[in-house]
Amino acid sequence: MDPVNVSCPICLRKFDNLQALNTHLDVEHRLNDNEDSCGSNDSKLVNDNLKKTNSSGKKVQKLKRSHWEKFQKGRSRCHACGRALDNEVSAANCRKCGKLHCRRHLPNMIKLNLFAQYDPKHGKWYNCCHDCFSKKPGYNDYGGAVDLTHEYFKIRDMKKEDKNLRILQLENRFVRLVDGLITIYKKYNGSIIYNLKMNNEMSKLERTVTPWRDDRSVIFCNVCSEPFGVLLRKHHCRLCGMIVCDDAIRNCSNQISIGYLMSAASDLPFQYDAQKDSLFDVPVSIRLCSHCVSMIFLGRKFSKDVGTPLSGIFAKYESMQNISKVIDSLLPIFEDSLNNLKSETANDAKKAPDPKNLNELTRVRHKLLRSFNLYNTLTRQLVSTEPRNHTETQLQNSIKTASAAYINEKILPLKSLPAILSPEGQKTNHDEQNGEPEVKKLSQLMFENLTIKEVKELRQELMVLKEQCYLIESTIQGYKKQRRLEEIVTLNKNLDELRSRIHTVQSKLGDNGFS
Amino acid sequence: MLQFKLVLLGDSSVGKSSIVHRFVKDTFDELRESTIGAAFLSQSITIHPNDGNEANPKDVVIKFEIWDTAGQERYKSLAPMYYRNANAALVVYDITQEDSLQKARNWVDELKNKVGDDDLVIYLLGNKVDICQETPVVETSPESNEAGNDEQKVRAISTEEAGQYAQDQGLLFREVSAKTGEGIKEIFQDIGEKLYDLKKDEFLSKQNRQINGANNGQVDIHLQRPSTNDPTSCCS
Repeated sequence: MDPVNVSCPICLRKFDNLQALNTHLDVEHRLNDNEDSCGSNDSKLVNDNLKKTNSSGKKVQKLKRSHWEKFQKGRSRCHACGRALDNEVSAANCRKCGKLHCRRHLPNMIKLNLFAQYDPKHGKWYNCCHDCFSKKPGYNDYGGAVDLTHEYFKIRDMKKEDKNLRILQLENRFVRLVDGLITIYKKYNGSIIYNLKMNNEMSKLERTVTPWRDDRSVIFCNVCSEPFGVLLRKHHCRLCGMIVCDDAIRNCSNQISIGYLMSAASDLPFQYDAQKDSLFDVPVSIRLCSHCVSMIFLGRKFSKDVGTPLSGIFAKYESMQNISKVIDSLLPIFEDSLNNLKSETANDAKKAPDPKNLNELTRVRHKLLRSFNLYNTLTRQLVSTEPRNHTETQLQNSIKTASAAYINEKILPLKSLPAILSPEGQKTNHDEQNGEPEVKKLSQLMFENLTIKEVKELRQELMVLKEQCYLIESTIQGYKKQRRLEEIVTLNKNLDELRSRIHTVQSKLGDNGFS
Repeated sequence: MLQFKLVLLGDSSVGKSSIVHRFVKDTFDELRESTIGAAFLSQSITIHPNDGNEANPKDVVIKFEIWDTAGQERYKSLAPMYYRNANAALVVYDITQEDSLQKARNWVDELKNKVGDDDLVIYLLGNKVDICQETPVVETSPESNEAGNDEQKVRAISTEEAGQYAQDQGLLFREVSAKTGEGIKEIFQDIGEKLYDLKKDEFLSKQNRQINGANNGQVDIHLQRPSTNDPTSCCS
């Protein structure tokens, strides 16, 4: 091709060399997506032609350009360096934000979809300015957290489901195996001649329930990974078919009688009822590896154990634990209010502590003392129970020591309360002022301890009083309508009396009232 | 007018509310529901103080503020509020119920311990005499079958027994029937007269003071209807 005479295939303009033609094609006809520059609209007709040719051929999808800043000679400036842009070729739009930049300030590439939005998955690479690049999500978010809880749950659920399926499979095999064995046993029951035949049939059945692993391919126990040898014999688990050892200490597999197994998993749909058919003495047992045993029976044993109530010292210990929980939750509250009171009295030595705070403090202290008392009583009961075996004796001793240590440790702040009050009392004694009765009252409050019976009675009284209050109120309403004003005076007096009584009862009850 | 506070006490379902309703409204309800808390009623009576040559021939109106308490154990804590400051207490028992008298005795003891006021008039009332009047004479008629079963229709507490007790304790005593109204009016007359005797001096001095006060600075209030001639008045 003659390099001097190249013409544009679209608009037939002539160019001096190929490079000029390429630039012409890129700029005027926008043939190159990556090298697209700001649009010059001087060849609309040509563009239209181009579109036609494109639509006749394969459709080319183009990046959105409506948001691009128009190039104006002499006026446009680069948004990065602020230099005036005088040359169309040296200026370009950021493909994302559309702002004009000089070409060397569009060094970054970003993946955009056709609407000029960041799309890391399906987008194509385009130039963009530094701003857009640094603003893209994930560029600079240090310390950002991604919540993977959902993913985690998904995986966990999947694993759980897998395990459940596995358990179901093993259970099915187990039921089939047990049913089959019992059927065979019943068939040949009692006849010694058929003993061999029976064993034969049983081992045949065992192999149909699960495929046995080939002996030769396995050199390690599936559970404990010990190498098999002359002393360590190979055995097949009858449920999973894996080869395991029967080491007595490691407990990898065991021969377990089927009657016992059936009673341990009595909820499975066996053909025979272990109790009804008295199958406990059936001398048939199967070998199970510890994996399968735990898969099938561990959950059952757990739920059974949880269902049965604790006995003896364990029940006692549980209630002790509950009480210690109460104490642990109350102690910080108590210490807080004690500290408040201390700082209050430290600031103003003469001022009597706020009775409300003191009341609160007293209340919490009572609760704590009661809890300690209960804890102590329970400990004593527990220690006095007759131990059933040596382990229980040991347990009792340990619990005794632990509970003594616990009480000693926790009761310490309680002892400091009378200390904070007694100097108070001395002070007011010196003053000989009306502070003294108040302190007396406070100390009285301090040791006024409501028993459960008293609380019940007070609650009952409060309920009755409130009922009566309501009753009187409605009577007053009725009398008001009848204009019986004299009676209303009497009733109002009574109402006041009731209310003051309610108040007294409520303050007596304190926190033990209805919430 | 004199005002007295009166309280009714006694075991549940002995007929306290029935007595009060017979007195206040002169009605009797066979199927009365048990009282909740304490009900308030008031009634006035007129007594004729006939203490001879006293210079007070006028009738005296006495108004009773009656607190009818509930007999159920649950409401026991309310009672002190109502018998405190009371002028009279009616302690009611059921003559067909053996233990209701014991309850009544407990109430009397409590009143004497807690109130300790000599001015308190305690009246012991045996209710439901109508039941026993019928029993020996005629067969039980269905409509009078108030208690519902036969063994309850027998008198369990003799008049002598209760009367003796009342005498020992210095109580007023009467057997009444709220159903027939027998003796009900008399109770309140008795109480009124007794209280009048006790409070007579107080009352008279108060009355005198009122008379004096009226003489000194009584304001004469004329209630006048608005003139109908006033064109702006809304009343015509």
